[in-house]
Amino acid sequence: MTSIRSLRTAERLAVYRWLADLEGKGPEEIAAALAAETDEVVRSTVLELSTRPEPSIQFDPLVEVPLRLSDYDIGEQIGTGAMGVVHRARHRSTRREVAIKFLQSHLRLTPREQARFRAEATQAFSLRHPNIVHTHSVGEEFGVSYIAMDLIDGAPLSDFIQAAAKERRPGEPIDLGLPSQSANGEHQTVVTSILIAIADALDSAHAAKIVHLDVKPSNILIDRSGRPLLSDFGIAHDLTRATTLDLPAGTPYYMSPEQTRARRIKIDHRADIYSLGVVGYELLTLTKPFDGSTKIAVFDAIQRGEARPLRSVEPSVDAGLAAVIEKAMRRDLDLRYATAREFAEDLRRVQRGMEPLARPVTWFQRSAIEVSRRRGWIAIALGLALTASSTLWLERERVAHSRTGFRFTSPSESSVEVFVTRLDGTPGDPSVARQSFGSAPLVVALDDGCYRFEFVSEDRRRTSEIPVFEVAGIRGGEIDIPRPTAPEQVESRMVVVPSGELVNYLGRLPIDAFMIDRFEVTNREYRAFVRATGWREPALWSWATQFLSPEQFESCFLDLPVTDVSREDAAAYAEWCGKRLPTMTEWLYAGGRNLIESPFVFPPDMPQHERRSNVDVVDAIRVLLPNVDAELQSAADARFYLEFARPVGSYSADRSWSGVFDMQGNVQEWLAAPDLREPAFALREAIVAGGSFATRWRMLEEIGRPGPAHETRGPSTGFRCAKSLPAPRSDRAP
Amino acid sequence: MREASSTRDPQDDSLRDLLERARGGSEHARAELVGKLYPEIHARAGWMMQRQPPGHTLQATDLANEVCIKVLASSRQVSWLDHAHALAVACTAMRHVLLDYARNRSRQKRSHGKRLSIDSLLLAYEDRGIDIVELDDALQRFAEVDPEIVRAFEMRVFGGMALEDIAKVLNMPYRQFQSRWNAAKRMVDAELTEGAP
Repeated sequence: MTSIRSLRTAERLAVYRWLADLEGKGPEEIAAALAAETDEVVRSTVLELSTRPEPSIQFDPLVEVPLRLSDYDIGEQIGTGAMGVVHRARHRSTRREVAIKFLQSHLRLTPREQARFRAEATQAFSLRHPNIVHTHSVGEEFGVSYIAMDLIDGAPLSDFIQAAAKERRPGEPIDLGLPSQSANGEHQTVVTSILIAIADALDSAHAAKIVHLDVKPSNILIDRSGRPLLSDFGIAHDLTRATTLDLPAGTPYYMSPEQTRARRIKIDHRADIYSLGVVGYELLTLTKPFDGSTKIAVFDAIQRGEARPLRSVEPSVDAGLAAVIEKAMRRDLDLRYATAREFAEDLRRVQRGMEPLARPVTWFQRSAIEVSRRRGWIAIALGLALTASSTLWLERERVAHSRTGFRFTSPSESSVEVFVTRLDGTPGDPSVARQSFGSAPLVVALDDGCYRFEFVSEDRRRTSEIPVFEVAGIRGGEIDIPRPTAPEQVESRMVVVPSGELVNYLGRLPIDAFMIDRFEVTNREYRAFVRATGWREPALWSWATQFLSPEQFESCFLDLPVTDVSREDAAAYAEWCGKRLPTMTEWLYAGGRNLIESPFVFPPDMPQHERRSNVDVVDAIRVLLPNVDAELQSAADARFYLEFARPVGSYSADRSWSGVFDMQGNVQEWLAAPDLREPAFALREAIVAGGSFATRWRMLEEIGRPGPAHETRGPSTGFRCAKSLPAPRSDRAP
Repeated sequence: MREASSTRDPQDDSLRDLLERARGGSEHARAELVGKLYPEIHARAGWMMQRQPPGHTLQATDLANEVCIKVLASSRQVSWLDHAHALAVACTAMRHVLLDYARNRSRQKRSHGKRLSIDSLLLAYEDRGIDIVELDDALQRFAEVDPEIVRAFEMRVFGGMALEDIAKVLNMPYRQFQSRWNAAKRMVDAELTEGAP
């Protein structure tokens, strides 16, 4: 081709005219038109240039901001982001001020995408929530895609985080410096309320079947009154999809593991819960949980899920709040909060000073086991070897030392009665048991040993409990009374199940109110019993000590439900701590009041994939190895258990109406010997209830309720305790 | 920051008044004009630097300062029509600031540490395949073909203005402008990429 620079001016002018005329025409048209050109140089140059693809130099800006749109006058720029720029604008007819986001030109959508985008965005327009930035319209003019939304007078949360990180001195508390009302609270209080507001916003959107999929600090605006607002609803969804194709835009730090995966898997609202968890982590620590020098490195870190435990980064963070954040950030979708509402509710518990439902993430959960859980047993050995990371941060809160005896401090003004039971001494030792506790602090002297504390409010409607409290070499300290809560709120380890009727095929059975353990008895609790009484240890423990390091055993194994115990063992434990095993009817009633309509914890119409718990997590049911000695079988059982059992209460969806966890999954449970007063039916022989990680769904659906009699101990059978309710106070003469 | 600073009503005519008065020689009007135009040019320059690798915090301040000074210096000669025209002038000024700087780059780099921001901006252009000096040569040659489109290049490349607005400034029907712009882009692109003559 002739060089353009060597063309004479007249020739260049001719080329230019031709090109302008032929702009947008097809090759055949161009060839036909050019036949009229007599100058060979001009003709060949035009032919060459007009058939070239896009110019290689990018003359056009990344984002086009016109000075006017047909409905809006555009004002000054008020923000930039990965997807484009935001300008202040005014609606021409209503004079209303809005913010308009102009999208980068490469984010321009095809007409089909646009139609879908518009449909989804239109749905998002209907979202009305005090913590959501309302979107007014989306449009495209002169080839520019734009989104008009509420103009918020304020700044994105990311600005506050940046400023706080810059200003913070080591050892000082974090101060986000948010405007007005929120500025007074402690940092954690401020963060909790921001997270609650955004979780509420997400919940209302999720209820309308709208997911955000780009929750991050720069999408959370803080207005002048300190109110947080989530922006870009119904927009981010399509744009993240558009941007992942060529990987340019968007910050990866807040993406959920499932979003970072190359293979497209179904992404749902739980990705938002994850991202909000990451926002919480960053707010509390001013660091990102997953970082890396490149985008790929960040993706990698997210997929490996190796965030530093929140409290090892920032030890001052409240343990309950940390547990809530880390539950939201779980890599395994099923282990996250199932809904944003659950997330918000747990945050509210923290806000009110209560114990959240989230349990601290244990070593097992952090280890490779989650990924490998369907890959068979070999992986576990590998996982154990690889993740010998220190987990001592999980150490239970130690009681603050003092020499004046143990002092109970009450979270509320109202009078609380404290019951102290010595678990390893004479049951009901009169010197410590049953002390009333009014507004004056109660101090008790305790010798070395194991104790259980129960707290009952004056009206006897609210209870809480510290199930096992070990005193060893300490002579005093503060004991915070867990806030006694109404039965339906269920914060303590025991749940009050109100009286009522159990509806079954034989009719209606009246049930007296009783108490039942919220969680299955853990190895930790059982160990206290073994130490106090010298009762035999489950054989599985010796395998566990071989497979696990002492730290792993302490910080993780002990939170798993105890198994490999016989019914006799279970009954002995229950008696030791002043409880008993639940009866079949109690157990059933705690799980579901109407066995005909709703045979189990999960409603029967709930799709299987939504019934989250560790039921049926195994591809093969417990393998019974033929012709091998018992030793090998029990080692295999132990590995089986270590891989698939979960710390008690891990699955919030597997929670019955009465607030009892893991009835459906985790481990099966021993029941009390059949009570002959209980109306018969097949239940008379049944002494094991519930499903376990080794139970197949199909089996669970067939039985619909507790499994058949089962006299042997095993790696998937544990128990929980029940207790008759204390009689009303008037009957309880001291 | 979504601060409500320096609010400019898009339909406000005061800008035009201000420009007229600045052209008439009012020092007060000039000072006010700097304040009004500054954020916009600053923002546009800042946006052009968005493609920098993460971690670089860039200051468009120096550049925007120089641009504003040039705009005001030229305000006596140039006819200001409206906001778009003002921006168009700023873009021309920006072209000259960048060109001056690019030509003297090696010398200035040694003596002025704070010039780094303009360096970064030039890098951002290079990232897009644009060498300011070569582009200037090409535009000067193209001025013989279509001087109006050279102004379009300035507005587009140095100010990121929208095609619609550029057409308005050039007082050209949009369709006609679009085909001329695309044709010009093809030619300038071919010239810049075809290597030394």
